[in-house]
Amino acid sequence: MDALTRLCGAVAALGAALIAIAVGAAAVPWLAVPLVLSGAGQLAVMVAAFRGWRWPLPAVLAPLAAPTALWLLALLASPEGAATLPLVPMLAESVLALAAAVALLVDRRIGADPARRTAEPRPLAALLSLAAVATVVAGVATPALAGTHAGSLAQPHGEHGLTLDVDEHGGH
Amino acid sequence: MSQSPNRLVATIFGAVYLLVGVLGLFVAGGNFIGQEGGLLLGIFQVNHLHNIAHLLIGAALLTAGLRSTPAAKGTNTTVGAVYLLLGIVGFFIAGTAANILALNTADHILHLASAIVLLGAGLALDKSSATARPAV
Repeated sequence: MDALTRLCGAVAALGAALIAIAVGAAAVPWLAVPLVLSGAGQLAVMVAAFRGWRWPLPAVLAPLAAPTALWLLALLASPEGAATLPLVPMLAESVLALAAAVALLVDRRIGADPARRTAEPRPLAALLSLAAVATVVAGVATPALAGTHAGSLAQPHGEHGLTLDVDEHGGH
Repeated sequence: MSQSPNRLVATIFGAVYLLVGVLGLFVAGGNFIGQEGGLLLGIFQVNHLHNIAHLLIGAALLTAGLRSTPAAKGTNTTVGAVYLLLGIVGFFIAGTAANILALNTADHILHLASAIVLLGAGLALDKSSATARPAV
């Protein structure tokens, strides 16, 4: 159970990291640098969680909380700077980071109890859990990434293969 | 193989990426490298460089999945990390001439989902068998 919870936390941290990096790529420099660094930190948390490494709590929580704290700080201190941070992606990032933090904290609590600790999940349960949580995180992260500056530049579906020609004088 | 999630993931993903690579050869047209490409399944944009990458990755995953658990685990982790890196770099090269693989939004979603499953399996599962040596 603790291993599956840790998997969920790791995948949520990965989704949060991707959004933080994508938002940081188009933000003003004083917001971009900490956002990209936080994203890199969240990727490190993801690797540690997947591997089962027990990092000190501040090292896990700091990169997860930093983008949301920075966003709130920017909203209060510099509204024009905060305007470079898109609302929906930052909300999605905060939700995923919070979910990751909760899952990793729950994993720690379960792991502290030897009676409830499991060494490795069953193969099928692990794969199904991984696929399910990957679907949920991709479902949250993908619209958020599309809402970033990088997402708005990406080629839309069907741009090169399909031309929609609407005949306004069809007469039906 | 059914007892190793890594071998299962590597074999399935390897077969799918090989199939995608072969099908892509028929839709890429004359686009070998650059931002332009053909649409695979009406969604995923590919050019021939992209197809070659799919064929190589598919072959590596399928071979590792059929070979052994440590090989599958290492290949899943490596390919997952490469896909994740590709997804991150993609944010910065979108709409520029550096997008030589003709990546579009659907490609990024597929690569992200692949990265999550491959990295998750490679880093988190089959830990006990990763260091095991086959009996000789």
